[in-house]
Amino acid sequence: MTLIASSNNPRKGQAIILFTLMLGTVFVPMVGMGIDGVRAYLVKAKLSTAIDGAAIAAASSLSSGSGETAQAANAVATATEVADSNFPVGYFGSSLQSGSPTVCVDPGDGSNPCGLGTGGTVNTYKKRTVVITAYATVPTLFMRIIGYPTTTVAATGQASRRDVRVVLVIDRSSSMTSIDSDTGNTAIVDAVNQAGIFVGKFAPGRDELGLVVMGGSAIVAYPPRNPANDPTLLSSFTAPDTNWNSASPSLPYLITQIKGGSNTGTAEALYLAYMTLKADAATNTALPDMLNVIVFFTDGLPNGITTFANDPSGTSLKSTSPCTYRTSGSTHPMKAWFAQWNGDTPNDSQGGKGLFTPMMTTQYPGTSGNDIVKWMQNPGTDNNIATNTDNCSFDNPSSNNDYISHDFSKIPDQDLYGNRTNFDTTTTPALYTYGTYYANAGGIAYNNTKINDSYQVGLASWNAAADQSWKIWNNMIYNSATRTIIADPNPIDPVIFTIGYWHTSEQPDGTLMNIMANTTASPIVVSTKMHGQYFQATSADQVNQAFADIASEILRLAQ
Amino acid sequence: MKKKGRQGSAIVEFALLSPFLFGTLIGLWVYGPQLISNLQIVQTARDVASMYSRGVDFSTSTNQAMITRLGEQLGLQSTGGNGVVILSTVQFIGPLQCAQFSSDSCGNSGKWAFTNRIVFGNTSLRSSNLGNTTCTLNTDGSLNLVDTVTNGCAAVPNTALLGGLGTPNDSVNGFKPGQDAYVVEVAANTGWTSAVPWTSSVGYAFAIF
Repeated sequence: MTLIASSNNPRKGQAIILFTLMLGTVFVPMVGMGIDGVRAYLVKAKLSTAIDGAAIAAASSLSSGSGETAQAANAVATATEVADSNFPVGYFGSSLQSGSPTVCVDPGDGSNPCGLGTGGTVNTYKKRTVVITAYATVPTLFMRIIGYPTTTVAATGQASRRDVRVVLVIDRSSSMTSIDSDTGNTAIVDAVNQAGIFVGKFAPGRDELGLVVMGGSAIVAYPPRNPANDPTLLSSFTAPDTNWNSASPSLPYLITQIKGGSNTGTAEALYLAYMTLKADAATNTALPDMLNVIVFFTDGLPNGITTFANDPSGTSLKSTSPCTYRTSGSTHPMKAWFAQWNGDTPNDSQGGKGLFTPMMTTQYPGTSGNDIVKWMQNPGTDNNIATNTDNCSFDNPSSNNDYISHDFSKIPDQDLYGNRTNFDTTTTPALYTYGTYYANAGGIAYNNTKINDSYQVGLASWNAAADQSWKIWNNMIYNSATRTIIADPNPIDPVIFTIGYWHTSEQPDGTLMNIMANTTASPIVVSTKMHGQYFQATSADQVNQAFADIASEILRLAQ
Repeated sequence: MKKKGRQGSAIVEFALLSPFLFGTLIGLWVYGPQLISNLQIVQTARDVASMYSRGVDFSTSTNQAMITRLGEQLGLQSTGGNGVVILSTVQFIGPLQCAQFSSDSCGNSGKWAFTNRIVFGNTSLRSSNLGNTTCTLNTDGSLNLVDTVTNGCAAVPNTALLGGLGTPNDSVNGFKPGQDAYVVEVAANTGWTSAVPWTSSVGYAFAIF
């Protein structure tokens, strides 16, 4: 019994010994892997959140700074701040190794500083990438018992920002000189302020900006146009550049100089913006990698077009006109604009008045060299009667607002840039039938012989603008040598945003704005092309909102 | 007798070990699901923030449904449910933002202000750490920009969450005035809420993009 008893006694406490042994070898590691593993995974998830957020915010910050180096420094600082904000100090007892994440900005020039593999054959030009890496040390609860007091988790994130090319179009027609009730400023002052803030959101040195200003005639204000060049040729245009903030005069300065006056030559402005946007499309291999944008601000309906009065292929001149069609070798094409005057009432006699000198081809009177600032400051100067050349005598000394019926028998079939005044994509209905003019008049059809009828001039102007839009979205371009519409050999796919500011009795035409932006609301939408957006604003505050939303959208699309 | 003695020692051993065993088991039972739920909450906040910062409109039921599917195990729903998602876009109002509304007094100058607020799910479960805006919201959750800049109703009541961004300054590197910060907060009940109420708690995570 004693033997038996003594032989049994050692079993007492066996379970405790076994348990103690298992505690260190099985139990703690098992529980530790469970609890500490999930804790570490939780810290990793939080760290990944912090790094993802930091990368996106940093990529967005690449817009701020006077040059590329400053922008990169700004992105690094932003990344650190956002990472810190997302990753609270002592989260599950953890801490960031080195105190902050490692931030690297790849400028997309092939130097590959961040090890993304962008050197050699990988072309990331026109795209900058922020790469962020962080490590966090997480103290363990259970695993420390078996000699693992901490574990390390890592997270990597990256976000890119494409460089953008933006051409901003500002309508400075006379209606923009009316007072905004909510600010007490004239509408043009408010628009200029907003446009200045808008361009401030882009990155000098990387983003490429251009500016078109529109009255009855439009002008490419930046990069400055050369009045000696023929604006019907793509080769006459200079693409937007990255020096817009440091050039003299700079683009922001030119915006501040814009004064209100003149009419609304929508078709010409859209044409000039598009030509500027794609000026180097044939040679710039980086263009497809960029985000190409037109932002078009207007406060009214198109009411003027720029024509080629003595176009050799034209049929508009009266037999009684002293003006003759341009003959081969003549150096005096009559490029001039006309517009409706005093409203758009059908069957009135306020119709096409002109012809006036277009800003694109006219040196500002009394100046030489860069005359853009003068044109910005003096909108009325584009109402000078076109000079008498090639026997064209539009200059009526008795009136500064000569009727074009003096020389024209009908409204020309197309404008200077090949935009058709009565174009329809499918024969019926004609484009203009979608517009406000047509609806408000109760469906009066276009009649190009009613040349003194301001309504008819409005329809022609509207249709020319819609046709220019149609050409953009259908990859068509005007060949001025043959005076035909041809397939664009180097099409680009822009994104167009339109802002229609309704602050007078005249409401911008939402349908035309949607056609221009190729939104899904456009009656001739091209579904395979990028859809822009149309913003209708009814107060200065809403214009501000629209500009802010567009900037936000462009920078979002750029990511 | 012998048999009894052995039985007794096993009970004693079990009694000695059981507090540790059961304590650990109960701890795992309570803590484990809470950790997993918290992990899901953090992950959901991250995913939502990633989409929100890229312009996904979470005021639409379609996009909310995307998140409720993502957070299905948390019990997220568009309305009610076991969790809540609070999305806020905020920006710091500096001189350039004030200049946008130069004719109005710039009430939020030097403050963080909301530009967008969307809340869906069980809205009574938890409120935002940022506080709320009393401004009128548009259907997409956006505030009118004039309110954001000038109206006190848009000022962020509690900015502690944004403390890491410092005081944005146009002339100092870092987060800039007028730059949108996308803040996503996700809260959900964690643990065995129905079976053992005392184990439940509301888990919370945020993400700033």
